[in-house]
Amino acid sequence: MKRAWYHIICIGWVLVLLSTTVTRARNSADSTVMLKASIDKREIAPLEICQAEVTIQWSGTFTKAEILFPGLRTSNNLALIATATVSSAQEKEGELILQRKYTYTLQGKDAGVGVIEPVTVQYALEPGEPLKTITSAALEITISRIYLDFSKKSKKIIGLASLMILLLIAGTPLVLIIRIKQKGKARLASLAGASPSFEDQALQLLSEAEKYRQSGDLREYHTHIAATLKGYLAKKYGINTTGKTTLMILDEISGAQVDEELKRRIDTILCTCDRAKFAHYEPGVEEMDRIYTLTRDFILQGGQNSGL
Amino acid sequence: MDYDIRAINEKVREESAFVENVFKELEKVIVGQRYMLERMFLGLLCNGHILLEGVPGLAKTLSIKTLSGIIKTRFQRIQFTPDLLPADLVGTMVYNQKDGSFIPKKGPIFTNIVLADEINRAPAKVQSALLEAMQERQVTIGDSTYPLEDPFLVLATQNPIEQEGTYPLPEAQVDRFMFKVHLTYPSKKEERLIQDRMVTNDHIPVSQVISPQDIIRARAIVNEIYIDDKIKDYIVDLVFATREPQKFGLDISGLIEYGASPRATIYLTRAVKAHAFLRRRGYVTPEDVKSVGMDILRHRIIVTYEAEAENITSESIIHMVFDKIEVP
Repeated sequence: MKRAWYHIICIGWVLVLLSTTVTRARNSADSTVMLKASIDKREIAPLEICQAEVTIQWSGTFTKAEILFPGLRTSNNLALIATATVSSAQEKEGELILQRKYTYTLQGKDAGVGVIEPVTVQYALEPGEPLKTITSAALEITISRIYLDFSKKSKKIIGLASLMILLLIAGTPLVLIIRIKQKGKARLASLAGASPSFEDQALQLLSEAEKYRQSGDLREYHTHIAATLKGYLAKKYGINTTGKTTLMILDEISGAQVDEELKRRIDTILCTCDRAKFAHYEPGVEEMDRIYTLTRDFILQGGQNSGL
Repeated sequence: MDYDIRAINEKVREESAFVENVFKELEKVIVGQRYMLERMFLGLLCNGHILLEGVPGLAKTLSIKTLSGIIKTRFQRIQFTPDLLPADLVGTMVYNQKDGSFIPKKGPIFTNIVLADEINRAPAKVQSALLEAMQERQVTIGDSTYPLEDPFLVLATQNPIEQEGTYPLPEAQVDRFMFKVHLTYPSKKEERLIQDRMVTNDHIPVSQVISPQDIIRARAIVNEIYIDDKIKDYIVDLVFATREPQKFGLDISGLIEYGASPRATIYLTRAVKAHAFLRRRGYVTPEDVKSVGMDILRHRIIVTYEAEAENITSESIIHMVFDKIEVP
């Protein structure tokens, strides 16, 4: 455990040293060369701007001095937008210190690692003396995959985006519900458009008989029931009921090998309706209910059977 | 007009009880031909005459004779021949040598049921004499007019296969027959029964189960039978469809020369009531119209030459009309 903490601390220091590398070279008490390379952000997003600075500072007298600046190595990840060079001189304790600062404005491109190559300064203090070299550390910049700019302007955009996401999250179920309802309505509409079944049509017609019963017009009530049943038989079973009497319809159904029970029902319904229509016969409430129920059940049963 | 259908129903039930007995007696002699027997009885109930058309040997004459035997009525058969005279039918004035005067000699038409056998074999003047008597129900001999007895029913027969030397009845005269009934051959089963029953050549006795008064009383009840407006409209629609078929969506106007006359409407309405009586009902249903409609209408529709050329008969036109006009 103690070793783990030790490693973490070491790595931390290494990172700090990497971010700012100062290389000092002192050949004598009079002449000094200092090379400093730094970067303002270790990690940037694509399109994000960062600045790298390389500062060379020296004092004293040199017979020869050369700065080797190889520039950027991975141009796929970083783009050089601008370069600025500032030279300055200052006196410090009677010694003239010269400084040159290179500022590179860089922009992240594709995700990956961009490396600013080490800057090398070669110099010689005395004539004939071999060149001495100091090198700064290479600077690595990581270009992340997602760009998160938390600037003030970006915050507004992010806030707006978050709001939109929230609206999207909250709105999705709402939209889905509306869509389902719309689909349901569309399905109902399409069902309505695609002609309802014979049974539905007949039951709808049959229900209209009730208004005659309520108005006390029992003849019309029975006429309507008989007409509904005849119409249903015509549509469902292809029997031409238009020009046929009750007996003729029953004969035709018998020819179609109808179940005896069904035949009896049709017989009862049509004969009772005939008596009400042509003989002023007024059935009781129970009989009227029975006729209605028999007709309705026959139609419903017809919907379940494929044929007579 | 208020109708007590229940009361009419009860009355019809009571008064029509003899109907079954009549047919039971008729069927003792006649095998099958229920259709013809019913039409004959309907003619009696409606006071309408009947033209029977069928090949020889279908028991036309036997049926009429049997019917007259069952009803306590008088029956006369007149065989129509080319040399028949009107006087042979209705009678004539005969000279009385005793007092030198002319006295009326009534012909065979003075009876209750007349069988005019092969009516199309007699010339037009004899046919006219008969048809006039049928219509007027009275006969004039000399200066005097004599009413015919009630019930008076003429059953005329004609053979559809032998047309040579015949005098086809004009349409106007055919129209006076209430029914024109086509007779068909009996079924195999019926033929077998006929074989058993008639081979001995013995006379089969029948009972007189009703009287002419029963018929007259039954006619009064037939008049009381309720016929709903819907049925009346249906009848009028049927008749009009033969005159103006295109108005009823029938594309047969090129096939009909003349449609049914108003007499068709009258006779059909009467006949449906009588048919309801036979079925022992106090009200008319569309079944009654369908049952008797063909026999009332078939001789009242005159088809065109085009229809004849295509073998389209008045029967097929009536079938089309019945199929097209909506049953109430």
